Amino acid sequence: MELVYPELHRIAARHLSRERAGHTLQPTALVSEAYMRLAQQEPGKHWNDRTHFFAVAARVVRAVLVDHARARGAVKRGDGEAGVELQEWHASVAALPVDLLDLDAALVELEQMNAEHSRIVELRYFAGLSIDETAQALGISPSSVKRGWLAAKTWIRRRLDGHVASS
Amino acid sequence: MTPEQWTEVTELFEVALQQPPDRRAEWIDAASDDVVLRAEVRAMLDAHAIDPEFLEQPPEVVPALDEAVVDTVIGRRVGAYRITRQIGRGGMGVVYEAQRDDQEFDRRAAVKILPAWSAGFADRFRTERRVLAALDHPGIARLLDSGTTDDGIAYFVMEFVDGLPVTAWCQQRRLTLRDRVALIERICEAVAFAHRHLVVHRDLKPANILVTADGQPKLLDFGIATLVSEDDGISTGTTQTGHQSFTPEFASPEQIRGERVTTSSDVYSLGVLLYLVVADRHPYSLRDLSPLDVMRVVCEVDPPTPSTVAPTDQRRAIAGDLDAVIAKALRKSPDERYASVAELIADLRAWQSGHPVVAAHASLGYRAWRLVGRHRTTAAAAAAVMIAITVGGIATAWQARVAQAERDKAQNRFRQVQEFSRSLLFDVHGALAAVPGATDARRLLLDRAVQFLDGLAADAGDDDALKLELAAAYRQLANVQGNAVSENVGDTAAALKSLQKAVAFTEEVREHQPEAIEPLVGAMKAAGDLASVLSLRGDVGVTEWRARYEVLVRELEQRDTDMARRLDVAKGYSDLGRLYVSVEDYDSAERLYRDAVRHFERIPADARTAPGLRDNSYALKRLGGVLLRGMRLDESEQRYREALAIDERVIQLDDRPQTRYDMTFTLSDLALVESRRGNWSSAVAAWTRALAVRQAISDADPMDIRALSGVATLHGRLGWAAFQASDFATAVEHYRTQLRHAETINTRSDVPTRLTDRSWAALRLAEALCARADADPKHPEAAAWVADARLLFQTTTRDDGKIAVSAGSEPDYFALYDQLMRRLG
Repeated sequence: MELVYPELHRIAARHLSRERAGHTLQPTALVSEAYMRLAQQEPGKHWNDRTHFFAVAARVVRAVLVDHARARGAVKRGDGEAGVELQEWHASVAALPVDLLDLDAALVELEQMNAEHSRIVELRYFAGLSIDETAQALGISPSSVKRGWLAAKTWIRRRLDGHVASS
Repeated sequence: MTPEQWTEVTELFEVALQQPPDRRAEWIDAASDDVVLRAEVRAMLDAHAIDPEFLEQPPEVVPALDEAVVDTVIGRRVGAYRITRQIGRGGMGVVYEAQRDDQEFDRRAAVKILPAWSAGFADRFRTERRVLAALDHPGIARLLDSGTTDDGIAYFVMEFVDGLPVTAWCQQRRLTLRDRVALIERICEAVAFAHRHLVVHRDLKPANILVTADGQPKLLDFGIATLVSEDDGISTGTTQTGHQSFTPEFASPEQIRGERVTTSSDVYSLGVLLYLVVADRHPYSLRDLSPLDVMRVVCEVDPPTPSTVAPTDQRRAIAGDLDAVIAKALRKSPDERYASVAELIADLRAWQSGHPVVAAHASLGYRAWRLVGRHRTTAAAAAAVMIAITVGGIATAWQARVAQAERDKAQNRFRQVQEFSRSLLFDVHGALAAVPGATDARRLLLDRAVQFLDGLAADAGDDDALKLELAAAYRQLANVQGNAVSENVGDTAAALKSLQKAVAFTEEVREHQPEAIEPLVGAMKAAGDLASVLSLRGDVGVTEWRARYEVLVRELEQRDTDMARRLDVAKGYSDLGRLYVSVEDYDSAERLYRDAVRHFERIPADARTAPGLRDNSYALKRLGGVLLRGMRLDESEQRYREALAIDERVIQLDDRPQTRYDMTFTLSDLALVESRRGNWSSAVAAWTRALAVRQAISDADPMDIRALSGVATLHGRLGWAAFQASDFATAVEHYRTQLRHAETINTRSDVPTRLTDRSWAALRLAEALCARADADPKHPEAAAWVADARLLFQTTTRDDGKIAVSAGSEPDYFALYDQLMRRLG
């Protein structure tokens, strides 16, 4: 699995690189792409490896997106000196119903309360797994995933509201 | 919140959600006395009510040009054009309207701006744009100019197309089905033109296909998707597939999987477009699916047949040929699609003019079968030769595949070959098997078939369906090569090789799909055939394979109750019984035969076809044989009579040499029952009837070893009956005939049991010669036959290690031998 992380990171970074500007992209698509690639490299892998893969992939996508949002925020606020040329063509993260930095902070907090619930959100949102796939990935029942998902995402939604209200 | 509080909150939240909305607040207050938790749960209930869809969609990142940049582009000059306004924003950049600036031509143009690119891009861009500029076709928006500005912005200037997307055009103009197909055909022509110039579009979709006011379709962005996609930005070494930009609704499975994109991907996208225009809806609804599900749907799910989802008044016109055309364009595997857009165009034209389309044509196998079927006896040999020649032609092309480097074409051929070898083995050989005198023609086919299957097998890769097909083909081949189950040309070593390949393929598929029935059935049949060939050869490996076979038969019995499978199980038990007989374990054999008969009896009469009936008869006969051996003559006779009744019905249903031959076994064994009762005249009558049938079959095809060997055996039986009736002259005649045939067989077949038969016959002949009234006490001919018998017997044992299947028991043989030796001195 050591190989997975750099590979994923590379693909994710490329997807988000400024050279890709203008492309519509779903981060979950890059998880699929990465998976297909790895599957080609190592045929005959079983669900065990897949579950591990998706767990890692979800983590990576989250990290890449959050880093990206953070970097962009920095450019926007003008503390980057990389030059205006770059900024102009820099990819922007749009069409997101949620501020990724806030979401990330909420997930960090959730992790302290219930690590499994945090994991569920990661797999569902960042890796695009279904309820059943998430259940398989975590080795728990689909109904547990369903309950955890509903509670966790609702709590995050409420926390973001609270955040907005307080800021 | 602490983990404990969180657990409590989630529990309260869950149960609260199940309460009627107006009662929830009240319920929460009653459920907990912790004010903080109650507030939390209430806030979550509010959040849930406001935004139940929160986070349900995956994050969608649209790296986009900043608005400020867009503003700076307006008014700018790129090449000879001045950008005037933004007209669109697509997957690959922003499109502007531009005006030629030099007043020489008053020409509007569309300018597509792409962001800055990696270093290598500029070079490739310069090469590619020359190719793109050469795409001069009325159906393709002309690339007028392209380049990179000083500050690194890449741009394309294209002919400005004032038109509607093709789908909107069809609706607005209320085009008839025929006009829509004609319009798609024109689009296909433009794509075919580009393909001839080695340019693939890769992103064909309505937004890229505009129709102008005078009805001319124009394709936009040709080659640009390729250019964009291949700019990986990062070197990926040898496995460069690159990220590809495409529209999932129109993308082919290979595009979705990130594999190499070829002209076949455009064929697929045109298929989607045709579907969309003809049926007025997308083949797939991918909206709201996760990327993994999109991948699954596009790569695995067949779309509904267009005519089943089209507007009702169109359905009849679409059903059939147009359905077939669309289905062929939309095949998951590029190899199964139209090999080129030109082929798709040909079918679209055929449809418009009312001619049959290629997509709906009967399979090659069907046609070959029809050919042979129509001219059965006269054309059989001719057909076989024709087929052998055709196969040879394809084989040559096959070998030239790599050299040719025309990968797409070669792959298409691969499918043809696959279909062909199937038709060759299943249909053509099946048809030839019904033709007397065709053994020689079949042998010719076999040599080709072996070369062929081996060629296919080398490239089977991970294709499970192909592997099962190959396994079945190898079994069929082995059956013809030497398994003495039907007329054969006697090469058990070759048959064994083929069966080992069949077993290997089915096992591979079974590892992939342990739950699937088809691989199990395939593995079972292959193991059974292998065991029976080993048994026929007297090979010790039979024990292991018999055991494997038995396990698989029992597994199938547990798994499925489907009628065809029940027949397979019944036949399996019957074959197993036979394998036990060959090692003289008659108790096990009897038990298995009874299992087989019981399974056959459970299959309703109206579900029985000739092959099923034949297997049923085999099982009854085999049971009868075991009973006969145990001298349970009444039940034995009863079983044989049941079998004979079935045989006669099979001949009514399916009159072939094989079915008639089958009946002769039953007659011969019934005669044996009579002989055991000492009822010689009845026995001789039955044997004589059987001999007449076999003789006719053998006369029709002198190369059919099995038929000849059957004739020889019956002469032996009749010789024995004559001997028992003290008609020694007749006995001698029969044995002589038997030995003459045995010699012929011996030169053509490698199965040692035939030698045993011959050895026995030689002894019997010697015995009959000696028994004649005028016999010389030191009969030289008889002495020669005894010596011959001894030689044959030694040959048999030396080559084979032991006698697996003999015409009688060894003590009888030695007793007769000793007796004759004493008599002749």
